[in-house]
Parts: sequence; C-alpha cells; structure tokens
Amino acid sequence: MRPELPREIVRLFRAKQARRRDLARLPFEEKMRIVFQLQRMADEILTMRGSPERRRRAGSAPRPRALSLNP
Amino acid sequence: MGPKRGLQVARVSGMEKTLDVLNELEENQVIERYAIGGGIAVTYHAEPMLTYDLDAFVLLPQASGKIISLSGIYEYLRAKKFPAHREHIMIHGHPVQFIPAYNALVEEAVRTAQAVSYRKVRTRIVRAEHLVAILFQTDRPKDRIRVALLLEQAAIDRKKLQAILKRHGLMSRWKEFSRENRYEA
Repeated sequence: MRPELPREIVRLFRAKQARRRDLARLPFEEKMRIVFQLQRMADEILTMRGSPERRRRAGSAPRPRALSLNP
Repeated sequence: MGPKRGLQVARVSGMEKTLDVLNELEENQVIERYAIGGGIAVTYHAEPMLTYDLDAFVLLPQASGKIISLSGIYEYLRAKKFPAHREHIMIHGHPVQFIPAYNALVEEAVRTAQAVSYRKVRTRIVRAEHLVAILFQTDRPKDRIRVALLLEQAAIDRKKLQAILKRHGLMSRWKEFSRENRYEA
C-alpha cells in the first residue's frame, strides 16, 4: 500500500483486502453462488449502459436459460 | 477486457449437472481425464471472480494419436443434444470450453489435479501451483492479475511451485514477475 495515501483511505483499502481474503476462504459452492450473482450483475450493468455490443449480441444469440455475454 | 461476442453465460446454478456430464465423458472414455482450469479454478483457490465459462482441460484417449481433435467430444455431446456455440458447448445452461492438454505443463496439471466435490458431485480442479505456472505461460494481462490474486490468497506451496516452474522453464518469468510485484522469488 502506498504510504502517501491518507490514513483513512489506507484503512478502507485494508478492510477491502481483508474482506476479499474472507471471500477466498468461503466454501466452493458459496463462491460459485457469488460467481453466478456477478454474472447477473455484469449483464444488468451492460444492459443499463446500453452497450452497443450488448444490444447487438442480444439480437444475435439464442438465450434460453442463459445470458449472451463473454469475458 | 470486454465480453467476447455471442457467448451464452450461465444464469442458472445447477453446475453439478454439467459436472456429471464431464464425468460421463470420462466414464465412457470419450476423454481420458479432465480437470477444471481458468476462472472457476481461480475462484476455487481464491476469491470469487467474474467468469463466463467453465474451462475443462482434457487428456484425449491414446487412440486419438498425435493429431489433437475434439471431434469425439463434440459428436458425443451433439448426440446428447448439447449445442455447440462457437468455441463452447452449452451443457445444462453452462458454457464449457474443452481445451486439449497442449503441452507437458498442462498435461501434468490435469494428471495431478485435485479431487473435489461440488454439491456431492465429484470433479477435479487444477492445483493452485499448476494454475500459477499455466498463467505464467499464457501471460496475458488478465493472467497476471490472476497470478497476483492466487499468490495473495491461495494456499500455495512455494517449493512445489518453484519445482514446477523449473521443470517447465518458467523460472525467469517468475523472477521477473517477483521483481515487478515485489514478491519473494
């Protein structure tokens, strides 16, 4: 962590890091539940943003039980 | 990096059904062995991360000879009504990418992968040390981020990792990465 950052910000960043380490210790099933939630969030954000790529894909790929996205 | 075009992403859970199909491929000798790599493997060893597909590294049966072909897998799954979509096959709502073990490191990673259970379904996941080595080898920007995540959060046996890196000629990359990121090499 860069020492020139304000102390409060450093504290916030450390708390985030600790939270992520806690997440890393969750059971695999619980982590996968979060991954699926992240996928839904990412799709909602792209839809909200009205990304041309997202709109184009929505019309081009079949979407039965799945979203039309990609990493 | 933005999403790739046209890939369908699992919205549903129920990944255990997908894993059942991977196990079935092994039982029916369509593949010799598989192990999960990629973002799901990183998620297993570190914090959950956004990923849209399941990467399955596969060893193909000996009879396949020297030509690497996934056609056996594709034919088997097509007969089971799992549709292919570009480089993925949708298995019970989850896009799966089959990646043949393309070098000695990946083959070793599949052979030594860790047996785990996901909702009582057995599966295999590439060990953290091999995952780091594979990420060093592919070395895309997102791979470097994943390496940093694994080194920070995963239970990595440093001696084991170094032995793998040495065996596969990746020590100089490791040293370079350690220097840049202030890790102890």
